[in-house]
Amino acid sequence: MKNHGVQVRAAIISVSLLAMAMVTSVVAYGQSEPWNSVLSKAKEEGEVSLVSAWGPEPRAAVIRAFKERYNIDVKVLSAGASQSGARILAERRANLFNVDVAVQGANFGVNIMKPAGAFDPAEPALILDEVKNPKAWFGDAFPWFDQDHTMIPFFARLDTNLAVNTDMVKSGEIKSYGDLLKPQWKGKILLTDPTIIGSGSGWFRENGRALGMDFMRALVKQNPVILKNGRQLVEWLARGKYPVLIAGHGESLAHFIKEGTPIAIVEAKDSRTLGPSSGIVSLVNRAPHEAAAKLFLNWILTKEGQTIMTTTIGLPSRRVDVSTAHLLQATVPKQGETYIEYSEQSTKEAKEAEKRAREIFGSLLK
Amino acid sequence: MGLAPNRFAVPQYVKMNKARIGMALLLLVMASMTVYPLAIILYGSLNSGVPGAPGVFTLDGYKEAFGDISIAKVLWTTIWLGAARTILSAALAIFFCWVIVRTDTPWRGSLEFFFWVNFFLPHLPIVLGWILLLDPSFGLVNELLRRSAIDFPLNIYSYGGIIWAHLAFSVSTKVLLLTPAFRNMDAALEEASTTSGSSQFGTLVRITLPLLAPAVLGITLLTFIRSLESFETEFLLGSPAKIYVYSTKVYDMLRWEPPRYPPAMALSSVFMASVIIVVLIYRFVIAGREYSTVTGRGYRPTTIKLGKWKYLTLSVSLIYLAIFTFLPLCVLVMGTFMRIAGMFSLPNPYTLNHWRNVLADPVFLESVTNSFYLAGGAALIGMLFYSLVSYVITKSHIQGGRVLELMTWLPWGVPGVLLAVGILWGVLGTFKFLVILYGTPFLLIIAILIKELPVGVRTMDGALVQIHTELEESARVAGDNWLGTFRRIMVPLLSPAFLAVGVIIFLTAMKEISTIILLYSTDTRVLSVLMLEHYIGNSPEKAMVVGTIITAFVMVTALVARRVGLRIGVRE
Repeated sequence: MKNHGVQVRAAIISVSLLAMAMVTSVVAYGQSEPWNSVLSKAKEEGEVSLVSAWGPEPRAAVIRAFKERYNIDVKVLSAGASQSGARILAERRANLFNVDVAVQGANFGVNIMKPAGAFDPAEPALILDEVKNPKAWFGDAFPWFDQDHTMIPFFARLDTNLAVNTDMVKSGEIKSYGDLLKPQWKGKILLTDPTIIGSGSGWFRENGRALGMDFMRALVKQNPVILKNGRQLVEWLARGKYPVLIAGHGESLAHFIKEGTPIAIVEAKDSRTLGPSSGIVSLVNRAPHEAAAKLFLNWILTKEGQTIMTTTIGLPSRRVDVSTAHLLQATVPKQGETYIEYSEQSTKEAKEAEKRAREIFGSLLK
Repeated sequence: MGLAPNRFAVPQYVKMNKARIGMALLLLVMASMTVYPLAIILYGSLNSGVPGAPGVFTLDGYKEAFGDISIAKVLWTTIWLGAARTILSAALAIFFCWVIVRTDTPWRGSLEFFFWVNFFLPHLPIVLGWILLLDPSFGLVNELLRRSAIDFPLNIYSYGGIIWAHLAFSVSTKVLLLTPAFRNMDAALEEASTTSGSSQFGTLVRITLPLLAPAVLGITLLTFIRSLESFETEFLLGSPAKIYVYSTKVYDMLRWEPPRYPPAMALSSVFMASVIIVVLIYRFVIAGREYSTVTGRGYRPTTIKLGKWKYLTLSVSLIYLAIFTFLPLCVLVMGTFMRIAGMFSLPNPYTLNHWRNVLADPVFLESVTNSFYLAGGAALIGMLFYSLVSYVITKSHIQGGRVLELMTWLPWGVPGVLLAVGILWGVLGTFKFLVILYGTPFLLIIAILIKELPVGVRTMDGALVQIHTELEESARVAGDNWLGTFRRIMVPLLSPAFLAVGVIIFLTAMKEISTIILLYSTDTRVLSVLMLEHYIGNSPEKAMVVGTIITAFVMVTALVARRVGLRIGVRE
């Protein structure tokens, strides 16, 4: 029965994607002259080269869908921000320009690529009305991340930074970060390392704005166990080794909850952030496949592209017409609510924030 | 009647000059492969900017790296942990090599095969498997102990746990590298010992081991150095217990934003210097000794009859392999069929989806093909290149041999990921004509050849020093030239070592990640990279699927190599 259900769901998703592809195709081909020109040039180029933090699953789905839709190959180099940044900048110093599009997190763009002048403004490359329409996006505004309009965040994920094991923590026992300072949680909290880049440093930087450094110092006194491996922390929480996890790896938490482990996300009343995760798309300048890059940029921001992203990665799209029914609802933001949003400015302060995190949490790492 | 002098004969000084030119060329190639990437790391440690980009001279990297008092503890932990497991594993490896090669223990061929399999098991999923078995809270073994009312949980997150998780790999590495040396032993020396009244044990200690000293010392040193840059095990098992080592410290530095290249490279530069010192000590220890065991007097490695004791040696070997090969292998395979590896408490814990997804990935088949090209290319070129370098080091008397030998050790002085940074900047920064290699499989092959230089050359060294020059001299006297001597005398005698080097490089290349991670392109993605992508893409179960596939390829390759080895090798 369960397999039958899975097959039906797969069939519905496939039919929906096909229908969307057909509708978008009709709309697209009826677009303005610039679109037709970009399309024909992109087909001549024949491929688009991406650097992204995607795992193999979203990568495979994008390769298939884009090929099917435009008969253009997508080449994806999957790597984290530091690694891909070091590599792309080394290539550029050697006058090698291999990358067309980057789909990464905020840090990659703000602190690595933009200081090297490696991004093009994306606004002139936006052609499809479906993409440009502000009403299609969360908060009725097109989601520019930076002032120069080079970075477009397409995920709006409510953080899953405070998670508990439901077999060990009663419902309502922890409602906020402040509750963690109670004596009963001393030595029972897991924390992703906030001193190196990752979900821990993101949590410290963004949630620290609301919680304040005094809270962080008080948290140190609770003697949390700090680890670097995100999956290991989530597994320890799921197995009941520890009852509370701060700054756990979002996708791992969503996966474990979906599979039925006793984990729940606490919607902390004293600090909730809205972040783009690794879903910020940018055009890399001096691209070898300029037209294909524009085509891809537009496509990934359509309902079709976003449906593939949200289905395979499991995070909510900023597009309001993309379904969130299959997602962990604790990650889906509600229209009209106020959240602390990741910003260009806060990302620029990453280095300073990491330094502060080392001052505060360093003693626990020795 | 004397022979008339040949007008066309090449004078001796011309021959010597040719040899010197050859040596100079070899030194140049080796320097660009080893010294240059590492010089970039040294330069990076003294530069304020990212190497390859402008910056100013500064010692800040060193101040930052060594300013923290905890670094002394980190370095000490790195050394003693490495030494402890090296000594323990060397003792076990010598025993197993002796069992496999020199005794009549039943099934020893199969035992050797499973040591090979063990060596090539992918690390990451295996360490995850050990956690699943030995975590003090939820480990399956600890669960069994609790049910048996034994309140003594085993803790994998400890010094002992790290040594334990390393032991299998350390022992199998040494078994793999030492067996050719054991095979090339001349039993006449042992027979002379026993005839003179010495016991089997006395012969082992007084004859066998001293003769094997260069191979044992070289390989022990090699594995000790390699153990110092080990990462995955310490990362997963050390952090929860606040056990930090050199490689995890470098990893932390590279994970900062922006990456702290200067202190990471400062730490690595000091580490490289330490490696050189250790190698010089090794050279000093073995200097001036004679280790030839394969001579023209007759070369007969024979087996020692153990009588009923052979069942004891078999039992010990089987228990060891059951714990360190079959158990993690079972955990690895089982994990591929579970929704979340090791979570038996889920309502429906088993699935085939991970296999379906991996096999349906459009880049999977391409990655398989690329892996075979990379591994095959590296093995083929490696066999030729390493044997040439080793021959020059051990058999030629041209000046520069010692420098050449020292260079062969350098690549293991730095973690793989930093070596990759050095190669990347070398290709893209200085040797601009090499840019054409960037993004091609050739650059990956070169990276693998550099990384595996110490093991490839040491394995060939171990075999070459055992062959007495009188064999070559006899062939020359009989009128054969250098090439003919090499083909007819050296190749048959060296075939086990050739095969060992080829297979080691092939299988290491199959699972190598850190050295090629910055150098592969979308067209040259290999299975090991795909495995890492699954792991960082939140799916260790799919990483385990790729790991299982790699292991299957490894087993088939090892089996074929064994068959070939039995045909061409010098066995009992």
